[in-house]
Amino acid sequence: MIPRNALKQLSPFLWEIPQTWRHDMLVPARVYASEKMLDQILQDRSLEQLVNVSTLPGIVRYALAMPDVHEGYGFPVGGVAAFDLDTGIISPGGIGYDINCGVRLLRSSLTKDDVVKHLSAIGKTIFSKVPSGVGKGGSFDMKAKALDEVLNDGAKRMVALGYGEQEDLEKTESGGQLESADASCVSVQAKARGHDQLGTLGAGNHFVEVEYISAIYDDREAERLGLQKHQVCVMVHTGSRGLGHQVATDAIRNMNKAMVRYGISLPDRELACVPFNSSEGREYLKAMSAAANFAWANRQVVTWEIREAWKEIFGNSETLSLVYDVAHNIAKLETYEVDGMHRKLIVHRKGATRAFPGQPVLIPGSMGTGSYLLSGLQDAMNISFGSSCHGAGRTMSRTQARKNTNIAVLLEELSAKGIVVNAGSREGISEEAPSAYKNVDDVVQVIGESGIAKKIARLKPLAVIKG
Amino acid sequence: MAYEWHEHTSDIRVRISASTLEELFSDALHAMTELLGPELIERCDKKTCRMSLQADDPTSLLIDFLNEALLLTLTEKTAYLDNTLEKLTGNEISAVLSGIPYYSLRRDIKAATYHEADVKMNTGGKWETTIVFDL
Repeated sequence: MIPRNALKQLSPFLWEIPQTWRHDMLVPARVYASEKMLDQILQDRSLEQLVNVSTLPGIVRYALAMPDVHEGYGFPVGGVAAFDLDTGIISPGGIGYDINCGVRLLRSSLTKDDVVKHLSAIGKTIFSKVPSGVGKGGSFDMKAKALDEVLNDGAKRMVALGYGEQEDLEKTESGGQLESADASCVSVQAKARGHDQLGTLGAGNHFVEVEYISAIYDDREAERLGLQKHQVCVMVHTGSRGLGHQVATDAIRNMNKAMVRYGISLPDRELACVPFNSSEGREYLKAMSAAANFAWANRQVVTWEIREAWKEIFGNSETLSLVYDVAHNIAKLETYEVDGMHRKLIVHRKGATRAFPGQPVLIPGSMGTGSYLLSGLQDAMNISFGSSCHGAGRTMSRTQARKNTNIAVLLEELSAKGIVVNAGSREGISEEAPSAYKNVDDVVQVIGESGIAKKIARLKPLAVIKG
Repeated sequence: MAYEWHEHTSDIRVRISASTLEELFSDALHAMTELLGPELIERCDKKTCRMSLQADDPTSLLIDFLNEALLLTLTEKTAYLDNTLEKLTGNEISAVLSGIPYYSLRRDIKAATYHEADVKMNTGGKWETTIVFDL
């Protein structure tokens, strides 16, 4: 555990563990947090894991933790790190097993008052259209060639097949396709695990949530995004499913073997990495990109399923337009000014969202508490490698959450707030109870006060659909 | 079965202690299947599959074994509760997994991680390790 006195306060919401704290650190480790949040963060191993990240070869400037940081394995969840392309590494542990787990927000033309009397039907219809639950397959069972096309072209492929519109791609990070993808680098095993999972939600913390805009903080930005108070939106949170999990499993196993050849020794084997410019590094970038494309295709098909449900309830003239889609478990090639020079870096985000200037940043809160829409600020490019937090962040283990949560009481509380819940598993509800998470208002405040992103709108839930 | 579940902020850890390396591998497989929580199809014939793996050390071998078993569980829709170890050394395993097809799983496991895994014999002569499963 890292003691409180190891941290130096740099500003009201930024703390640093200096490079001298541990002999193997190559750069300092920084965490964005309020004083109160820091006390909580210090209770698990997240900052110890962040210090481990700071030891990775070729790391640039610092290892970063966002205010929603919590203990993971290898990198902490809520971790960001950028590496030099010539001297640095690429690490599947810096991305996570659910490659391109991410969030998208759709806007309707309806208001809260328009939908309130339909909430039960909305919950049931979306739950029936979007397959959810552990290992659940969907209506797509793709043969090898069709799957390879999805892996190479991502959401673009699904739009070409009629599961969306060109505008969806324009509102998706990287256009819903990483061109570095190569389906031939994805193992047969990964393809076997994911071939029938396109258009499925999965389980755990993945969800579809129907929400309404309860507050607007920036009228101009909201108008630019076509949003206004009381407007109903739909948020989707899912990723690359079993295919992505297996791509990460394959890569971590291979890299653990390869590291010896590159003379890399690590404090945690889940940080397994290889030089970015090695054959293994290039191969992983291609496989990871293909899994990221699968995730964007997945969220595109889930969007199509939700649009079908929406039409069934409100008629064909009611549409759902994409506001934006962000990835929060990914590594991307991005250019930053470092020491007065423009340098292309491989930026790892594990439980962190890209926050480029003017880009919508979607921050879901815990189940039933609502979400935020922010807009990235210029400063993010200088202080956080264009990155923000990705959610509220867990504070309680799933076991503890189950012990502490009376499901009947929780459902009653949600119902009293007018929130309809459709879930495949009661266990899933208790593990995702709001008390298991940090307060999303506090997390977003840190992001705003730090100059990473500014608040545009707050959304409150009306219907929760979970696996 | 000698294993205990422990908390982890986002995932879950299991601590396994066994008299032999063979027992450690069997218990780890059992723990993972218990965590998945399969709803088994009754009166269904057992299915078997063969697995052979090599790794640099016992820790890698155990994690690779579990991830291979997880892959088979998910792709064959079969919960593997038993295994017959034909060969187990510090860096090689040949096993026949035996399981029952399931309708559904209660919980998703993304992977068995290397995070805190360290297969070793303690001073009391027991084989032990911790495993963190990514949920």
